[in-house]
Amino acid sequence: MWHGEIKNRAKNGTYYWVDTTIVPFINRNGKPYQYVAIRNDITSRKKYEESIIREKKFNADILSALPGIFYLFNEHGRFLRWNENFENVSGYSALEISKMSPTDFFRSSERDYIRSRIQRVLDDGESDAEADFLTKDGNGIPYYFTGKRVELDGEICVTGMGIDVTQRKAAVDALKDSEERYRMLFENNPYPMWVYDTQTLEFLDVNSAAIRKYGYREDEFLSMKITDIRPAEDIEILTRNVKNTTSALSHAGIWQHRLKNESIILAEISSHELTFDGRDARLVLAHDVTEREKAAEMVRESEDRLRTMFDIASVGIVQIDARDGRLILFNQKYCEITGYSSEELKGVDVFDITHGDDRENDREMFRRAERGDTPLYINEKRYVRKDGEIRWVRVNASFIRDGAGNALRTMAVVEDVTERKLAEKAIKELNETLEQRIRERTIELEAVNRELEAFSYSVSHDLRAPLRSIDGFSQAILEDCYGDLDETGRDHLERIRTASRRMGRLIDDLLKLARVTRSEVRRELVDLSKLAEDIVRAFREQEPDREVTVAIDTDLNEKCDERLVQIALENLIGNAWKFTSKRPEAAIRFGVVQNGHKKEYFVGDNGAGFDMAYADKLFGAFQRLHRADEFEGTGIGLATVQRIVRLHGGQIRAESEPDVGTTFYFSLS
Amino acid sequence: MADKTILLVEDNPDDVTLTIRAFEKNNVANEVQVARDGVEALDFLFSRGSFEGAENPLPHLILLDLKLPRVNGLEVLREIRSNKRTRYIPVVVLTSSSEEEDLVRSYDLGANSYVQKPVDFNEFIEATRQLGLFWLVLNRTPPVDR
Repeated sequence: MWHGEIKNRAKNGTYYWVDTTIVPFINRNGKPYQYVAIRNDITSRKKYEESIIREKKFNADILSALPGIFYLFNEHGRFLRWNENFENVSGYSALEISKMSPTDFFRSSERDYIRSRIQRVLDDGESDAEADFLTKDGNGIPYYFTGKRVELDGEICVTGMGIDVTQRKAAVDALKDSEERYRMLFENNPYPMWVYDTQTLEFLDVNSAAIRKYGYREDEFLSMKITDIRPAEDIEILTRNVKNTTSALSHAGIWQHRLKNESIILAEISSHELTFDGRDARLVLAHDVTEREKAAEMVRESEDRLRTMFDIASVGIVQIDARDGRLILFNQKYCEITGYSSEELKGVDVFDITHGDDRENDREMFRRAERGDTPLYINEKRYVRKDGEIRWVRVNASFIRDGAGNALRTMAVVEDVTERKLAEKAIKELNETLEQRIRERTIELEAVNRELEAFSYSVSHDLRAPLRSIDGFSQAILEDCYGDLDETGRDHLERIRTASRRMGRLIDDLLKLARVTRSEVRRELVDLSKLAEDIVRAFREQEPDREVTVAIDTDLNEKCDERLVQIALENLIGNAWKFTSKRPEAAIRFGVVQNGHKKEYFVGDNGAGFDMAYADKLFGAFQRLHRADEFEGTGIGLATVQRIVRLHGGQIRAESEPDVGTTFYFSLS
Repeated sequence: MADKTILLVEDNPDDVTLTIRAFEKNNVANEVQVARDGVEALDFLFSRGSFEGAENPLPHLILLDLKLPRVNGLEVLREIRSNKRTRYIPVVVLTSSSEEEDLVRSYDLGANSYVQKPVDFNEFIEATRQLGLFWLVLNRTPPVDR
């Protein structure tokens, strides 16, 4: 007998199920010879069954298709159902699982926690837990579990799902890391940074560098807009920029920012768009470039100055390619010196504009300096200008070399020294004629000297003669006509005689002065002490009645012209002798003092002295500080002394006080 | 002594007068012949020119000024000293010049004395007195063919 369910196809094309029992009739041979089929239409039952099966398969499919593990266990911890994934993930077989309890899948340290979560499900209806799911081979996989209390066939059960959260956990960790990194980058960034709302322009976050740099507290910042740190004139363009910035990352350039203390800095701004707490925002990094810009400005100015100096320099400056001598760079002055325009000069070989006669030598000097034989190239040579004119130039060059020391370029300063060269030439010519001129001049001078001598001679001879006549004949009248003259007449004649004798002395002194002036100094070692003693002795012999104390330092030796110094000492000692004539105890002293590094001789007296207010007149010819009826004199003596001292390269000065005395100090070198 | 003659070579008539007066004051009574310049002096000494054939006796003392018209005193002195007859005659240079060069050249050329004429007439008288005393009284000269 065969029993089965057969799917039949109806005439109208639909299917129907038939429960069929086929009973065979069997002969003696054991072979069926007839079949009886009992059929029962079971299509509706079959349909119900199919829906159950489909439902079951669907549930199983869902369970196995779940991304996580599914489980159902009763309140005693017996697993009733689980999905394939549970077996796959845990590594346990279905049989094994059926004998395990839920806590077996956790580390002992987490079992109490799991138990309490299960209890909560049983008490409250649902709960969840997060713990590592322990597999058969001992690994723990981070899982998130849900639990729901269900009643199944009268039993209290827990059903739920577990989801592998390894990825999520990593993502959360990553997010946490990234946030930390962001905070660190943001907060600890040495550059000021902030986040602002692109709609309201309000600050949403600022870092500590911004707080330090701008001077606002964090709470102040967070109550401000970005327009608050900008100068008023920038705000319009700022708002326009904010609207128009489309790219995610932008360099907004350099802007003026105002600090809390009102000072303005230059900030270079970079920004990046981001979402901050759900708001459209931009992250801004502000780099204070005030100093950098200032420095850059200074560099620009310095470059401008250099450029200007280069352009307006009063010397030619030129850069030459050391390899072929061609001009690379040159300034206006160089064009002026050479007479070519800058267009014409470009690429010109510098030796081509050098004078032909100077070219070989110049090239040789250039090569020597180029090789480093000479540290510098300095040469004076001639340029032939475009118009053919020849200019002398002084060229001072140094070389720019590569790492191997090969000369690449030459920087040269070219100075037009034509005027100087011409002057030098003139001086040279002048020098050549100078000796001739000196000879001629000497002859002229000698002639003048001879004339002067002749003049002196005439004076000495011819001026004295009339005086002798005046004096002589006055005397003759006094003698021959004495009786015919009254007292007044005789007095007048005496006055004539006195005057003529005085004039005679004047002439003598003048001649002496003239002779001194013409003198050459012939130095030899002279014993000044002895010289002075001799002079004093002569005065004593002339006026033996006078009592004068004279003190002369011994061993005063000096290299000087004896004849001239004698005249000087005669005058000085003579003055001392004369001006002490009214002292009952006259004293004269001759000695030497050290004044700095200079030796000063002195002749001092305790005579009449004079008022220092007139000291400047002391050494002028014919200058007298005393009346003739007080002390005789021509006023030429000290002029003569001064001439003598000066001829020796020395100096003379006087110190005096009326009625106390006078000291003359003089040096002889 | 009084027979000894003096030749005064002096172009300045004042000096001539004063010199003669000084001699007189000193009682020098010797004959004083005056030559008013160098040429006249030489003519007188060598009987030339205006003295041609005059056969003047040679003076015992010549007082010679240096600055003279035509031929100066130094040239006169040179002539005197280069001539055998006149070479021993005492020549006293009596001059206003105090120039050292004049002094040296005078002695170079054989002057016996060099006296600068003082402006002070009393000093001049004194100088003249000493001159007369020395050269005309005390001094002796080699014999001269007069």
